[in-house]
Amino acid sequence: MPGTTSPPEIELIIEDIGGGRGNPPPGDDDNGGDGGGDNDNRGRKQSPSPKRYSTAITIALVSILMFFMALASAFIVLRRGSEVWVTVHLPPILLANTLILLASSFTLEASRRRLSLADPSGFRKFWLLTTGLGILFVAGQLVAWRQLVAQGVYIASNQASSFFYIFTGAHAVHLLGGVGALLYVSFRKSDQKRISLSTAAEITSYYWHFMDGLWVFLLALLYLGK
Amino acid sequence: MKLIPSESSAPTQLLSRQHFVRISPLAATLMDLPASVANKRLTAELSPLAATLTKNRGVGGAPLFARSDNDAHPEFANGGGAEGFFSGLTLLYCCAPRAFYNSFTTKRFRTLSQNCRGVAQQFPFWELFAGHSAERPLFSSSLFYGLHTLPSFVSRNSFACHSYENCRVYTNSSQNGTCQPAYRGQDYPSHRCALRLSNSPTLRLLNPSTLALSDHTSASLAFSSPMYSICPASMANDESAANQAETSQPGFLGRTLLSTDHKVIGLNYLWLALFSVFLGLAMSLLMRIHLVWPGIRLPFLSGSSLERYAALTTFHGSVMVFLVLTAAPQAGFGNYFLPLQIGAREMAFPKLNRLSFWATAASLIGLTIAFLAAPETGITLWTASVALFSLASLCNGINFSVTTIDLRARGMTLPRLPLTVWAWFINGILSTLIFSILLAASVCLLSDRLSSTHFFPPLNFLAGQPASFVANFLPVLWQRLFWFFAQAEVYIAMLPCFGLTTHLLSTFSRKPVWIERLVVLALCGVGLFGFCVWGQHMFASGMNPFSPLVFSLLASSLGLPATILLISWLGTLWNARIQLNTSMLFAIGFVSLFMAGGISGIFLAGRDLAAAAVSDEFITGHFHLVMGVAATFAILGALFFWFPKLFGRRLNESLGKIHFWLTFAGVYLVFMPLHWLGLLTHANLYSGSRIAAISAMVAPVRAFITVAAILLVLAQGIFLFNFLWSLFRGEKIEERNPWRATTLEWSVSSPPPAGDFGATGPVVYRGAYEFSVLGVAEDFVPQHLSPEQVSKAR
Repeated sequence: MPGTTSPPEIELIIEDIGGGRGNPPPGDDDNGGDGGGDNDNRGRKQSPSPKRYSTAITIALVSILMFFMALASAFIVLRRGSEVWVTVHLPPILLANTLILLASSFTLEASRRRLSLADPSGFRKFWLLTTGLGILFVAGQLVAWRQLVAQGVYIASNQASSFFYIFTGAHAVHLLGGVGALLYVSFRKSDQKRISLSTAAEITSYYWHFMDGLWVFLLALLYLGK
Repeated sequence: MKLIPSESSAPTQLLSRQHFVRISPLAATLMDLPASVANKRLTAELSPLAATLTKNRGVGGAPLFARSDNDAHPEFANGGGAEGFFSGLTLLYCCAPRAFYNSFTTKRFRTLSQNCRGVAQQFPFWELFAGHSAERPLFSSSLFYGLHTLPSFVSRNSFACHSYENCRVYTNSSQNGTCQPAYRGQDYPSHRCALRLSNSPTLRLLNPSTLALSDHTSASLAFSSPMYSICPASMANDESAANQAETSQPGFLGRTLLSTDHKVIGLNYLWLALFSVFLGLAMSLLMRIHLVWPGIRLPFLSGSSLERYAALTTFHGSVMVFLVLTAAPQAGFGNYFLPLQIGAREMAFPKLNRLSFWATAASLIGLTIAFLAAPETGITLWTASVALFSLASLCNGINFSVTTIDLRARGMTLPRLPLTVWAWFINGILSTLIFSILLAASVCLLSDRLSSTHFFPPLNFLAGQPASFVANFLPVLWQRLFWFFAQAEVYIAMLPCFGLTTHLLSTFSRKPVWIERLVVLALCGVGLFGFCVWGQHMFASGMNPFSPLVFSLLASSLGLPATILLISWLGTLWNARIQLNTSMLFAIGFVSLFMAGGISGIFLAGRDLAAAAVSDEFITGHFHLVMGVAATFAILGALFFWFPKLFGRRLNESLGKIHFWLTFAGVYLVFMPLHWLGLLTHANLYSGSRIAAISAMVAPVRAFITVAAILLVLAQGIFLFNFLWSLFRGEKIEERNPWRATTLEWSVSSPPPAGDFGATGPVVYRGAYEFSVLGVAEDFVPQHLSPEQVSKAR
């Protein structure tokens, strides 16, 4: 092997992305929402930098935060501006849901710790547990909605109920995106992806913890707004 | 999940159901709808002069249009205290989308028009002279320090990526170079292997076992041969050629709409904007003609229905603001040239990029259908289309900022970025922030319309409530959310144009951008301040009396970055060897329009003047001049500049110059009289003879504006002809760099090949504006020339 001179401290990874293989990779559409990676065969298949995913998720989180801040400021403005504010009796199941979501954050971290300890089966177990908790949370939110509807509190009943449904609905949609990311990480075909498992897990965890904190914030807002 | 009760039990629901939304929020707020509708309404039955004068006096027209809506709105009917009247009007404006339906009394127009002051008041210039000496040292010390230190830390990550990109080798910075043992065999797919780059031109395998495991070992092993490192270019070319041979050439759709290539997507946006701008121009012509000659039967304005006219205004405004001013400079030119200028091959997320384009195109279709549909479904569709456009812009903003942060070529540090890239970058971040707000507001509005919630309560819902409730419930909410977005939207449209203009002025002055660092700071400042001044559109909305002061100050502080930009432009032009081609003409035209619009903005930034003196026509003139027309000039300048790169041909210069002068004269002839009309109709004239004297002038002036507008639009035909003719028959460009410009896009052939930079990524050695460098033979030094390659002057 030639070239055994003292190397500079640059470590490189070669990714061969199916360029020389007999069967070209099929159009992988399971990229999740990130749309990353282009597999049009024009000699440009190199994914530029794995860092772009974490940069993108950071900016996206700020953007999502702005979205919810707009809703929250609308809530505060309307709440302070009105004298007759019909309060919504928040279903107690919301507290259980909150605990579930908080627990899912811990299991997610436990899962990532297993990953760093080179324990893939433990990682997978905790990861699926997190996914299950996430789905359980969304189901719990649906139950809360059903309970409110059973009480005759609809989305158009009063402004408090409108805000309740909008907050929980928008958060649930975003959380379902997170569940999608969790499922993607656990069931992806690992041999065709440009993003390593640890990076994918890290990015998903950012998003998940953010959704977690966001929910706590929204719930506090709803309780204080009563 | 059923959220809406099957039967509406509450009376409030019934009320809100009864009341239909007729006019879109955009029309109500941005396009100063009340004025236009007022004019239209009045001119339909009175002469234009009478219209303006009755509006001015606020009494004469009232009996004509007084309707029974006073019964529905008791808070207006009493008309007792000025405060009650005022808040009532505010209320009326606040729920503009629902309010205009049946409230056309003249008195109301006036206050409405004051409230609804267009997209106004940016960049007053007096701040320059007010002495900002305190800020200067701050800028030059801490922020500049940040600018200097940031690049070294940011660019380190992207440093090694690009030079080896074609070999598809990248530094594994996140894992610190080596695969962690735990991942081998499972996390890292078998076809990846870690290599260590040695000093020698060959690559030494670090982990042959991984390679041996690979299911396509031969391909991977080929990389380890010395040949790989000696001729990576040929390897990559061979591969791409092989790939192209494998896959059949994509069809027309595959090459255009389905492509993820940033250049194709950028061109798609530009075509979309070209279509939209002529659509919007046609709509504005219809409006102008109808204002002056209401008797003429026009398409889309059948009968005298107010809804049609409001829909026309809304359509014109939405298409122009969203699809032209937002899409063309940022998404169009940005998508095409941002990766080229920073030496990246692609945007960070190409598929997301394609998705954004589709969403944008779908929103145009949605807006068009909303325009053609019945008002009731139309406004819902309009809101949904705007929400879709917001989503697309969000994705675009993320894509732009990530691309700029992570994908820059080797050596492309932040101070070396062209100012266009800076502008696109700041704009991308600003977009991700403010389009979220619009999205949230649209979601609430959609929820109001589809599931009868009351985020923005309709007027007759409030009319049914107790008075105390109504008084505390002034729904300034929509206004806040909307203007939070819309004021920043002005800068979304303008920021890329600042960047483009600075770039063009420097290139055609053959001089570096004067005070370039300060210009970067000014661009950041525009983004920052633009984010904070939404309140200046709401001086008359009954907000806290101190907040107008704050907003007025903030609005005035926008003058600082605007003045820096202006000084930089003039400083760049000073004593320069100016090449006065069409592109440069448009850039200078931009400066002129920006100054003109900025000076009228001074009148509008002050609270008292804005609230008292000026009317809708002044606003229309102001924001068309500064936002619409100025931005269009920058877009046209950029198009003339980049046309050779886009299509490999030149636009015709003579036709371009004729087009420029006609357009330049035309816009001043159209929009300056509008300012005058606006001031005139609100002047306090008491003596009858003067009223008569002025009244004799108003109608001809209106007609003059309309004729000028028609000629202006006809002049755009020259451009369209020039564009289409040059596309096929224009003078071919053989050289890569016809303008002798410095940035990276001119280092590739025209139009750029699919992979942009070929096998080896570009390496950047210098800043973007090295013109007329001493001791160099040519008067420009491209960014990618290494110091050895620069030919010295003899």
